[in-house]
Amino acid sequence: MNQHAATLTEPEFPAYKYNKEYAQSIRLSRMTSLRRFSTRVYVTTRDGYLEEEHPFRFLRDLFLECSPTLESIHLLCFHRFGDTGDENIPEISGWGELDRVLMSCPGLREISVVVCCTQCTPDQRAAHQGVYDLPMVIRARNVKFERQFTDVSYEVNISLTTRQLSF
Amino acid sequence: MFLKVLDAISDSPLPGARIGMDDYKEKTLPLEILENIINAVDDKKTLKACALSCSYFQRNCQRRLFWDFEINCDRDDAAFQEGGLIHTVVHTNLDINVVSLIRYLKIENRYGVWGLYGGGKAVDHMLGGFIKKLTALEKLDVRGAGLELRHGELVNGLITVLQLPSLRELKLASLNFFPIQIILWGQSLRRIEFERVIFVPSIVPGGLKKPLISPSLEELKMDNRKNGCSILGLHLLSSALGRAAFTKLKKLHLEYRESEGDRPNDIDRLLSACQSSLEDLNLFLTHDGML
Repeated sequence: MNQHAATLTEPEFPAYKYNKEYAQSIRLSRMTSLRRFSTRVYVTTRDGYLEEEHPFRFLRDLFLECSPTLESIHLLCFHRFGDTGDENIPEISGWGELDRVLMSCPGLREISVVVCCTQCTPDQRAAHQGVYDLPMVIRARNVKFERQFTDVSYEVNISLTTRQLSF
Repeated sequence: MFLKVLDAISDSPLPGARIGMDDYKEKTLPLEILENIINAVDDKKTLKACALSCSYFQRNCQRRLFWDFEINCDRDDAAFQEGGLIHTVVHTNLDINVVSLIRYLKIENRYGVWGLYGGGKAVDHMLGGFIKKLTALEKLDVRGAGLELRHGELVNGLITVLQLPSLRELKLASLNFFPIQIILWGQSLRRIEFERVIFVPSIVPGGLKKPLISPSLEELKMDNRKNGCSILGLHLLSSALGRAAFTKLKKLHLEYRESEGDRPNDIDRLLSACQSSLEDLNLFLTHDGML
């Protein structure tokens, strides 16, 4: 973990407070028939460090109280401003915590992740392969996990449909 | 070859007539083959030619010609002029079967019609009158900032057509000041899609009966523009009637295109209305954190 990230605590982030309010308004646990959930998050880095956003903590909060019927989760991650030194960004931004939280979703069978990193270098993109992973939930729950890394343009994907989210 | 066949049968009152062919002796093409040929035609120009070939084919071709029908106000001035299709349907009391053939109607007006006497108001008036007469519409697609929803006849037309039992799907795109409460008249709607629509609370004309909601809506797709989710919550979901429209919603796709007017608790009302029926939730937030 880099020093910059280590100094960031959750209450300092307006975006975290904002996303927490969203998670509380959505409350997946009240949805008694929900089978499929899709969302997008933006991962922003600058000069190698995480910007003032905690998108994966939003997901963590969202799935802390998961709908018991939820079977399938589809995530679209836009990695903005890729630059040097951000290979471990998903790890420090709460991705690992998300992995642990997803283990508590009782009906989960499938997770798919599309990572759009148009501004990352090929080396950075290669490094992402090791971090956008959910080993705990896959091992513990035998969840089907699919990933796709893409460099399609951000503008095209700003209004991605669910059709494009699926593999 | 096909045009030769058409030329030959166009002189005959009956289908399956004798057809002269250069390389063969006179033969009669069986009716079912002619029908199969016509069924394979997929461009409207040829279908129009087929419809004019004989009265037997007219019905089949007309059904397919008008099945999905587009009114492009930016291009089709003539349709609104005297003698044009829209003008004729609106201003005559003739039993015109076109209105019972249209199943999918797309209306587009991006810039407004300039060449018509009366301008945009006349166009909106005629469009309202036209859609009021449709009897079998299944899908309606209305788009374009050139349409002005302050014109009462257009709003009346929309409310009338929304009450059709056959209407299952409504798509609205690039509309400014759409009176959100209109959708409550969509008694049989299964799917609604809003794309770049700016809502206003209500300009529903007076004297109309209140909508009778039978909750049929299964899918809602909308992008949250200019407080869209907030207006939806305040002016639809705050009443029992409005909430009832969403109680069978199975699929919700909500995309925030901008952070303006984006408040986390606006989504709560919508999800509360459909929390026991919702099966598929697509939620694309901005995550801008602009509080």
